[in-house]
Amino acid sequence: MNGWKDSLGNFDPNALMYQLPFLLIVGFGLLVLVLEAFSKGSSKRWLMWVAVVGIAAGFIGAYLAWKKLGVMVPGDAQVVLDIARGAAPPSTDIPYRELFDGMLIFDRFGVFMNIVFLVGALLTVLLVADYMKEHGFEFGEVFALILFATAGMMLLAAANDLITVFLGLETMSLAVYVLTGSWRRSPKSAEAAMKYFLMGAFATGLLLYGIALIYGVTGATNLHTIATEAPKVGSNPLFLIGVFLVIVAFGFKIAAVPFHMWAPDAYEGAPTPVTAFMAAGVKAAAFAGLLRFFGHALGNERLVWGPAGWGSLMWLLAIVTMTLGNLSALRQDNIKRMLAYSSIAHAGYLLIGVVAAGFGAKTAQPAVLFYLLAYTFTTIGAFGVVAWLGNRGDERLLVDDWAGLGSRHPAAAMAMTIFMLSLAGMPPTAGFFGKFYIFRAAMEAHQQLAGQTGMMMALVVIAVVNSLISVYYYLRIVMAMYFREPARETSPLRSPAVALALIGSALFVLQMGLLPSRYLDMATQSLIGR
Amino acid sequence: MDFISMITPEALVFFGLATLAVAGALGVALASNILYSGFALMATLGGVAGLYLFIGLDFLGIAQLLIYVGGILVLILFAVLLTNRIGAVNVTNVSAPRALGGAGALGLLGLLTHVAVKTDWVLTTPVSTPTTARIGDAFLREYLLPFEVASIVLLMSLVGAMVIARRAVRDRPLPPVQGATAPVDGAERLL
Repeated sequence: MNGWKDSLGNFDPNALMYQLPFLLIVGFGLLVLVLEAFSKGSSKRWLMWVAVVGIAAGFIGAYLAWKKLGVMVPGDAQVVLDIARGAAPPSTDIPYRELFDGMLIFDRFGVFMNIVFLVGALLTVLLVADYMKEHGFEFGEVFALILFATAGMMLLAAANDLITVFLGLETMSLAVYVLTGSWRRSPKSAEAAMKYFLMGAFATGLLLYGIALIYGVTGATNLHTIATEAPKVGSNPLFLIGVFLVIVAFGFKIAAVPFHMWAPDAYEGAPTPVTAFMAAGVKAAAFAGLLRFFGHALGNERLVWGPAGWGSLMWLLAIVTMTLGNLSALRQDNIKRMLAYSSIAHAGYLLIGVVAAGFGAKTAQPAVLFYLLAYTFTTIGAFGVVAWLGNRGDERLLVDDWAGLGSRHPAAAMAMTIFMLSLAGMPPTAGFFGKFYIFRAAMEAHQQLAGQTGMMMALVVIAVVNSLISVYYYLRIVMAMYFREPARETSPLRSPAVALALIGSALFVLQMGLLPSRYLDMATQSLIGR
Repeated sequence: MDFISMITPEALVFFGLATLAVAGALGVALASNILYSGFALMATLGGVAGLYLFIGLDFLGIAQLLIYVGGILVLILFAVLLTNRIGAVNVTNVSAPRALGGAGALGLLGLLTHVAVKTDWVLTTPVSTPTTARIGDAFLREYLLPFEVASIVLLMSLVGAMVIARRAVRDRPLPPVQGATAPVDGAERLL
């Protein structure tokens, strides 16, 4: 015994540095809870600034982790340690670091996703404070819940073990269920929370069942071990059912058709900033998990394709999700429902990226990351304008309510136009490059298949047709704003925080559309290690 | 192998417990009275606890009894008994016809049974030593992170439950705005 340092085993306290964003966000979440409990006064709006500081600290943590991962090269202590333990030498030069006995893996992929979640959390926090105040259901715990949900997302993005995947998913989901039902005055909010919770609990059950089956076949929950075992047991029906169940569970979380039934009701009923958080953050986190588990760990061509491969299933899922999402969005008069269906359609586009990543298309992972960042800014921005427009328990959700906004509130109409163009995938916005990179990755996968199957090509064609369909319903709002006479008086929220969030996201959407290379470079460096 | 020799004491215990669990589950799903469903759940949870003990997982079996049978089940029964008219809820959602649901369930059962029988399971030899020490060890070594994160999940669930269930003291009445419709009337009754 040589003192306490021995009892740490392989654990290196300095390695907690990689986990800094997560620790900071959890710490500030706890701080908000304590401050809420001990503060006097009825307005809890000031807690927003505590949360904002926490998120800013999270950004700094992410920056430090990013730097630290950048200087690590093969030959670094951890890699050497792994080899000493009998691991194969790393096949890539992507820096990564495993912590907690392989429960978590830190690589730039995780850090990039952390940044996406932090952006989502920041915008949501800025939107939600004054929204709640206006609609009369202020409570301070909302900021803690948003921070905890963000921490859950970070855990999911860094998960290297199915147990951590599960825990991250649950931490995130439980918080969001509560946030969905937090507008106590509104029966719709309660209905939304109930539906979301029941469906989510069901999905959790399926996920656990799937994990149990996969564990039964491979004897492991560690993603890396599963990846090495999978080619041996790939055709085992038990493994296939396990993988199928995990896909279904993630399908619920990303609201892919046919597991999307809850989404429009939950999105419509939830307080609008929470809807934004659900549409952007929760979806991005689930896609981080999907990319790690399917796109990377199971990204073996034998496992991906064929009648029983997960890729075939996701291929089908992508097509159905895009098409039904878009066709349903066409018929919505309620903007929140329209955006809900549009968000379903976007999950379909993102699934293309996951399938392409499964084929080993090098550009697929960065494409999905870029898309997620762009989508986070755009969706939260769009929902933010919706949240901004309503007042006093009266949300202005019908397309008719938006008539004439262009002449009354030109700045807001301009921002909404930018978000709509980005969602439709038109230049010069972030959405255009998001879609472009995803399609390019799909074409790369198509070339790698070298003509064995034209199915990736078919996917791209269907996706392009779908994007064209979607232009109709996005531009419908733009048309209403600029080319119709105002029907009702509007008195939107007067809130600098909301204005800041909207202007910020609009600027980022434009910048990512005009100068995408900086963000794409960053995404390209953010590959999954190991 | 003839059939008689397969009837060992172990097999009898196992199938007895498994039948208890499955019969209980059927009772939960099919009972028309929600109180009976609650009681049938006791058989399921007890049967599962028995299965844990049967394969030598002492801690897990006892924990299952204490937490699920002793805690959660009692909570469910309390909730059922204290809630008025819980059985008289008008179900407005369309449900699948029984035949379709039954066929789906049977098909899934057949598939899963087939697969379970066919598979080469990764087997570990059962150890009949107390598991508590090993579980404690695992919690503080390889499962340290999940163990710690679970505390965040629980804390958050408590806070969330409180947010959802407490009296909405900070809900101030909203003065009506000129030209806008009144804020969701009748919702107040729910609080």
